[in-house]
Amino acid sequence: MLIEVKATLRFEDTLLPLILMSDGTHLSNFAGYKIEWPVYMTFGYLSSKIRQMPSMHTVAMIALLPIPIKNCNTPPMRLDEQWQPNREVLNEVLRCVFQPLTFLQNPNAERGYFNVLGADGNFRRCTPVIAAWVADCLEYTELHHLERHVWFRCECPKNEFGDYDPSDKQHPVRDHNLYRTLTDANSKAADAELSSCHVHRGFNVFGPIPCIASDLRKPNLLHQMQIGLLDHLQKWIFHFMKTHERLDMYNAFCLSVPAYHDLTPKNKSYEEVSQWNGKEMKK
Amino acid sequence: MEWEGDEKMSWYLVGVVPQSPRGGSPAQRPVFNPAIDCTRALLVFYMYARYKSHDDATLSYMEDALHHFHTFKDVFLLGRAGKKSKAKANALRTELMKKRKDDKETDAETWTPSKKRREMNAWPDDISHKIHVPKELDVNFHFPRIHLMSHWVKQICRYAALQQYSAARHEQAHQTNLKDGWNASNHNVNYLPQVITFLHRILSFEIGELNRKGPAQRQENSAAACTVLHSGADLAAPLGSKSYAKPEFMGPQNRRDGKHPDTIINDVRALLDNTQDATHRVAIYSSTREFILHKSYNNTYISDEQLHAMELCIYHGIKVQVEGLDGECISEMCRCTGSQSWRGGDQPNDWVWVRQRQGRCYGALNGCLQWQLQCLFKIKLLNKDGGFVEYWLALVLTTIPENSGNLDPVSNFVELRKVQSAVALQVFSVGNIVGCAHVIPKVATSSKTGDRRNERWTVNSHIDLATSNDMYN
Repeated sequence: MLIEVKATLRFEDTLLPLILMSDGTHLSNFAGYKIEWPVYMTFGYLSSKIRQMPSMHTVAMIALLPIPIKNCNTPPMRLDEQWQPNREVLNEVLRCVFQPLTFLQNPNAERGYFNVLGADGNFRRCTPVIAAWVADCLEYTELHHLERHVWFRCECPKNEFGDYDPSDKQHPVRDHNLYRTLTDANSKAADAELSSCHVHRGFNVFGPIPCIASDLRKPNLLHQMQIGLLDHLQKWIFHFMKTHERLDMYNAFCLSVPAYHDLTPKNKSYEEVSQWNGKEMKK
Repeated sequence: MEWEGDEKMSWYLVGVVPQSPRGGSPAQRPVFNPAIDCTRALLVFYMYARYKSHDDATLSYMEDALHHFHTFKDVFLLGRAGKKSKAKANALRTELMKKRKDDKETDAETWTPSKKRREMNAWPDDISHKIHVPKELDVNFHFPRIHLMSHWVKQICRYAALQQYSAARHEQAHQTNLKDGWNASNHNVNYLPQVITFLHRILSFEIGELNRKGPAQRQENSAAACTVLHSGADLAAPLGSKSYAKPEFMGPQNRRDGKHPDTIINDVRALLDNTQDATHRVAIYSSTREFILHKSYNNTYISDEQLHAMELCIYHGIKVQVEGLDGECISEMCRCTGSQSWRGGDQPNDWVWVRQRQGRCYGALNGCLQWQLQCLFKIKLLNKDGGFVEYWLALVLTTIPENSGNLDPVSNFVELRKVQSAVALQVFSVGNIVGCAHVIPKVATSSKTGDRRNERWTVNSHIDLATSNDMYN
């Protein structure tokens, strides 16, 4: 997308790649169960070294998304009915947030451009493009009206997740424009097609915004590797050692690992730690 | 804060796993070797994913590692089993055990002792085989996170290194953007306006300050860049100084309160008197003497009195400048407190990489060896022109690599062995230290009780990117 937009730029225009990030956070247990779901925004042209520095304040909070009520009292049969309005509310909120990017509210402005006041005091003509959206798997499925536990980048069927596919023959990338036309068609055949792709019906906020929806997702080292797959791996190794009666030895080695820089020696074995989160993860 | 992950955890995981099957029967090796391979492949893949720059070679290594992981991952299939399949397997097991008991009662009388033994040995294998098959029918690796790895190589080609997209940044932004404001609010139902006002006020100040600081910093940076770029000689100088570690010292002397036990040690005699271990005492005495003989300008003989009166002080740590993977300077702290505790914790005697000689020797270790610090001190020597020169010395426990430093074929690690006790402890100049090392004791001992009795170690070469890059190259 960036490359296509770059080709249309005129002399002295500026491309503004926006990186959006969203993640739920937990504020307090004591003063009521308070959680927030903020959306942050930063610019893609910043050096990643500067962007990662908290003291540079490169990340700005632009919205707090609505958090749906807990469904603990809803019977499981009606959960699907509850999720549909949740998704619609979420998309409506996001539509309000991104309305300036769609250029619909100001027909006088030249389409696709903003006049932005720069730090040097001059105005620049900028073309904003959403380049990335960094979030969890779960948030992403909600943003894109996908069913749970499906993969949002390509149309890989659920029973082939574990197979190795080399990079030259991969499944087709999800086409969100197609889904939108299918949703608009509002016929039975279209619905069947949507459900075969594991997609829910509904308005997708990323349609009118300049971006490629399936490319927004970027690999996220923290969530997908560190607390994702490595966590799985640790569990597998634990079970593996247990079945082969080597658990005592494994635990003893775990506890005997000496300290190194920020690696503090552990004082609990895997089974003694009930929840691998926060502080325990660090150890 | 929750986001601070377990980056380092993964690195010692690969160190721990190959050690655990040790001492197992040869029959178990075919099971354990794929497990080791699989773990290593996943972590190597992760390691390549964290690189800050890529080329075709690293991408192809990444692909290979992923392929390797998928080839061997079936060993861990049992770990994926849920409650249902486990219950099923347990039911099957009890049924088989019952059947076995019945068979034993009917057939046992007719069996010869050797047949009995053979049958007894065959039974557990048979049962476990029968149980594994239905389990494997139920469990699989089909979950989304495992699929995403196959997209990473393509993503790197299109959108550059992955480190910049880490969620660490916005998890961190929660603190300044939300949590600080929440803590400053009155925790009322109506807390959001308070959070936003607070945020607005704080951010305005901080961003205003950054704007004022910005132009000045930019000028400095550009000036510095110019001097380095324009003269070739300046470029060579920092590289040369980096190769010879310049240690910065910190120790009890810096506190100047005089309460620390090490502050009373002012000369060599006091050090010798305060050393509890006899072998340490002998080593300090003989090696320091040798060092002084070698360094003093006229190689004159030093009497015991002269040596004992030599000025000396103890230090508890050195900072070594290490060159990171992409050329940046990282300072590593090597700690050694002897018998004292470090900031109220236990007593660390860190392992360090010590340069031995130029060129490629000791196989994968690249001409360096891992030794354990026992004591750090500095002495003052008289120079040729009458001035004093200070020498920073370290007493270390020396090791030599097994198999002349080549990688172990199964575990792919280098193993270390303690040298004979006569030359186990040595004194040398700390300038030869090139960085911190991480080794895992072969015999599992708690790190708190100390590993004095341990004589074999494994070098954890996966502890950070630069180390593993050096070793596996």
